[in-house]
Amino acid sequence: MSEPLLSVNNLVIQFPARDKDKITVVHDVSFHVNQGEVVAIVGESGSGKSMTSLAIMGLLKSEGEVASGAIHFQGRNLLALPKNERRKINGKDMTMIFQEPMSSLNPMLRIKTQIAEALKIHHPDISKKAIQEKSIDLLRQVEINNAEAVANRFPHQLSGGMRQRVMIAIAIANEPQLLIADEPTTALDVTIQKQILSLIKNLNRKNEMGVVFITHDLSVVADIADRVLVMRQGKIVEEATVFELFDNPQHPYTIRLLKAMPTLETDTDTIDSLMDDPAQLERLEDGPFQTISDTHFVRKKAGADDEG
Amino acid sequence: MKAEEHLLEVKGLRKHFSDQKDGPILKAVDGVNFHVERGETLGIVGESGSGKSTIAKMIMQLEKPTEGEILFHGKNITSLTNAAKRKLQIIFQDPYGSLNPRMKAKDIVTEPFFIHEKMPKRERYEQALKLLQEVGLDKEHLNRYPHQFSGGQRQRLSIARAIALKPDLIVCDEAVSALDVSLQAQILHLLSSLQKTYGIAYIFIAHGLPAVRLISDRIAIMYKGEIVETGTRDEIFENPQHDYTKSLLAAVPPSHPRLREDG
Amino acid sequence: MSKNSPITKTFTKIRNFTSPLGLIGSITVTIIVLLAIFAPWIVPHDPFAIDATKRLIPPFWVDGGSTTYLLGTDHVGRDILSRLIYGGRVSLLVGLFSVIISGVIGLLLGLLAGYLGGTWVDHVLMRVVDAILAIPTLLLVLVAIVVFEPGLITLIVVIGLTSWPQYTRLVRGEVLSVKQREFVQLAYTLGAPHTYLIRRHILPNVVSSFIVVATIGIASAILTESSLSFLGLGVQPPDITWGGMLNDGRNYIATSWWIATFPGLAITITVLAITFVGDWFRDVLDPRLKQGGEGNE
Repeated sequence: MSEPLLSVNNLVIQFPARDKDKITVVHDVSFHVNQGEVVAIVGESGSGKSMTSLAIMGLLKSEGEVASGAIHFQGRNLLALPKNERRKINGKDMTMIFQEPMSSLNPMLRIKTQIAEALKIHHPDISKKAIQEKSIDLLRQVEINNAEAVANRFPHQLSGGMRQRVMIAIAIANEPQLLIADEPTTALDVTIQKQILSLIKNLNRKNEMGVVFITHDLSVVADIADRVLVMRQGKIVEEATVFELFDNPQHPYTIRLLKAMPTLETDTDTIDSLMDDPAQLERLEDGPFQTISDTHFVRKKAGADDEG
Repeated sequence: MKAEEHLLEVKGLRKHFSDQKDGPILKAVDGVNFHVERGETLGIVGESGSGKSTIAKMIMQLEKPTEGEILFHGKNITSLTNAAKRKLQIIFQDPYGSLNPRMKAKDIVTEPFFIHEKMPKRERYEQALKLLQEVGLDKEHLNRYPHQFSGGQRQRLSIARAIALKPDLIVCDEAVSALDVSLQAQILHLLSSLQKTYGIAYIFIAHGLPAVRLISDRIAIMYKGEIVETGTRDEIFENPQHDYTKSLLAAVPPSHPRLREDG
Repeated sequence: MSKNSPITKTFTKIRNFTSPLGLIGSITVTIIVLLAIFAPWIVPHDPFAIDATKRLIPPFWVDGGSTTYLLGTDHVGRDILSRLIYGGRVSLLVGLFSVIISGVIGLLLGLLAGYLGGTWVDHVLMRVVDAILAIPTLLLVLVAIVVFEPGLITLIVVIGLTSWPQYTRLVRGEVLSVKQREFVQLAYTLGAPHTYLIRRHILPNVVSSFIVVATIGIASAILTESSLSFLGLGVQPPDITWGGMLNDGRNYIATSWWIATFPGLAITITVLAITFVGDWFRDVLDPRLKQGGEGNE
């Protein structure tokens, strides 16, 4: 198999703490994303999933820092690149969309101006006419029907779903190889969520674009992912293809998440069995990685086959 | 008390907003009727802007209806005495926003008692402990401030406060929507076990069908200020009638990759 | 349980004292306050004693200076250091008491306006606030001082009565936003009386930003006092003020720079130190920093 599009090796992210030395929020995380593949990172709040994605984008705020590890993108180590080289990759070959599109769009600028900016940064010589054509084309690609009208609006004049489409249009403006989507549908209504998910899937297939999809919702994972990483307390506890994970979950935490997943099939009389004992969760201990199959790994104590 | 009297009855409820005097009118809630019986859970599902939270606010008298009436125990809520009002409680989506950051847990959960009368320290402590234990918290949490709890624990705190006065009805306004999935399951479980113990009725407002399905006896589907369909849980999920209900059901993500639409 | 003992709490507070500016500020303010309180016992010379033979002695490190008069003497031979220490008393008194007056008025009216937000009471109050804020404080004070007799009490009352609108505006805004928070609405649905809502829920959540601004208000009151005293409209001689000392040194600035420089420095340092303390309060009063961190599930 050829070299992966993105590979993260032994990533450790730390934050300074007030009274201790440092807090490690991401422990020794390794994974890869192939071209055209959708990899979901699943975890609850505080699991380190967003930190990992910010580190890949080089967006960790000044307090957080990558303490060790490597992030290779298209064969280049991003952590070793000088800042200006790095900037050339961001927004061009690798882009990101966030949960709340309203805060990532400038409220004072028209949609067309913001798309034009994204184009101009990486193609300074592009003509006005080309920008205009390309902008409309991008809005159509994200399945906005009245593209011309939307281009002239301001962000607050659009619905949440529309704004997320615009964000995706900006993200794919320079035909990126990798899209990092951080909970892009969490703030949206279910009917809109469905549309955005299918849009991301279409773009992934059409453009052979790799996608890192960060979410806390396993049903979204079931819908979109090829492979899944389950994160808990800054560590990857299980890695598998989406089918392996849903058919044969290994880590107690994964099993728990699957059980708690609200679905239309859950037996309504089993609500009692969904009760998680927080203390029991605390007792879950992680061991070294065990290999279940070529694509399925789990961090578990040897011999600890049973849940809890 | 008459036999056919509902615990809560909402009749012809409307709430219209307008920014300016002659500006456009937003019909947030537009002619809604429903009722809740003792000890049952009515789920109200709708997407953002459907008017479901406005209904919650009107039941709690935080908003005045433009038209229509709300009866609690057969009496119009505007004429309720303080004692009767206590039987009607609410839990909000954001437990952090609904807890005073400068009050300790023991004061938060016993607040419903001491708003109207003084309460001896000893008794307040005992009541607080009892309430905390009831929602799965403990002695060590009594003196903590809201920021020292995790999201799920904060929602437990809100629930403890809501059940303090042994209410007949609790309005749960997106009470689990902001929580991680495994916490959602815990809170749903807690709510249903409290219902079994105390016979509390719930109005469970949410934007997601799966959570509503787990806890509701009957479900009302809201769309643009109106209830487009009401039915028992099985009716709504097995045999939805309205197109909007069908599209909501279709939008629920699959529970297994095998069930993807594109195969 | 031990986590909540007063001793542990104090230690946590001290450990959280990570702001170096806050530390410098509070140490400086403490020293200035102590100096002012114990002035009569620590001054090296009588600050009022005129001695024509000791005129214009420079500070000790300058040629002709002497360690008897560490910071030199003024144009009538009074010891500058002693006068500085005494001058701090007036500045602090004016700062503190004028802010107590304006703070109490501002806080009460702000609570009233915010709590009754949108009603005619609120509108009338806020127009009054706008009107007062539109007139420069100094001008108001000047007028008041022409009408009443200049002096310490007049100064305190006048500064106090003219600077409350900023607190009203701040408190009103905070109340309006706290009022919308769900815990206030919840208490309201329980039929809590107004006094309860204000005392238990609203006041505790607005008081910290109020204290921050009030602290910085002390600094600006000290500046106003100094300006007025410099103009001869504030506290009258023979009472010593930093502003008055500045005025004394005005004519000698080219030849005997120390007369005006030291009171000027004293004003600057005091105002800065108080401002640092105010900024530090902003952090300290945040309940999230008070004790412990986020709980775990």
